[in-house]
Amino acid sequence: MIQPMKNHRLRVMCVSSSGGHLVQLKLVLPAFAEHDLVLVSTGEEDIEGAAGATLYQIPEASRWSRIQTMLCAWKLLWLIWRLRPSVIVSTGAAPGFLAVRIGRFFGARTVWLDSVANVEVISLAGQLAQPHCDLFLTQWPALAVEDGIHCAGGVL
Amino acid sequence: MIFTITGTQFPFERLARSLDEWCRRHPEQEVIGQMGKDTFGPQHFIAVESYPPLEFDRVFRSASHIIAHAGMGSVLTARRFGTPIMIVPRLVSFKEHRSDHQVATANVLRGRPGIVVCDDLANFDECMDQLLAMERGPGTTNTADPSLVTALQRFVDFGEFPD
Repeated sequence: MIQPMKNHRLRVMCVSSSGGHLVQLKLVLPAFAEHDLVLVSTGEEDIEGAAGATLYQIPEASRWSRIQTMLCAWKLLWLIWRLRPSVIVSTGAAPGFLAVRIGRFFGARTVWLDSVANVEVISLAGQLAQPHCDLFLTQWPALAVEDGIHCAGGVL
Repeated sequence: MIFTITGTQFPFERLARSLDEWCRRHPEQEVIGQMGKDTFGPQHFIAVESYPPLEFDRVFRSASHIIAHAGMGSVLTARRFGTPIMIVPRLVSFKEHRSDHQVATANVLRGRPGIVVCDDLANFDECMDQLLAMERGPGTTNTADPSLVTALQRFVDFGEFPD
């Protein structure tokens, strides 16, 4: 893996469902302020808190709807193929897992920040995503016991 | 005005029913709900399936109190505007969510300023009294822990892992 140099502008694609996942994702966007930021979410969302980011909307995906999930995966595949982000960051849920899988395939580094709502166990989408993540973060120190699960603070 | 938000993903009929019953007995209270695809159809408060984001923010801002499922989006937005919030965890046993993580979320939020946790809708009235006794606060800009932002930045910029 080639380490990026400081001041080297990367394309960072942040992906999440709408609602709480997106609220949390927006709170960590300052981390990518130096980079070319692409924000992808399922809802029709305002750009408050995402200034400077290019926005894309994708269909909602869930374990329960195969067609929706396929549409979501297709749109993500197209976006990632076209934009070739260097890094994919997600706070969940199912669309984030798809983005991590597809991003990995295209050689992006992948980051998962599990939702603060997952206090006792890592989210289902997070558990599925973990093997495909370069950096996997929980917001609860008690969950950062397993190898490869880190905790560096949270949004609460 | 009391604004009720139950997320737009699944219905939350238990909460809708309790609230509708409460509204019947409190006709002086103005209550608006963003209830998602709710099949219950409340009689005593105004229910909307989903507000567009800007409209949602406007209604949220003008609310004196919030009632919500125990989702982080509602809690973080209430904190941003300084609005007191009552949270009711969704339960798998009523087919209200895919897991019971909202119970754990509610437990870690219990006792925080401006938050009332209503685990049992049998206590809905008392929880409402507690909620309405709370005043709007100044509101705070939500920020992630600086350590989290730094960890993400260092990973993206230098490929470094947190300690």
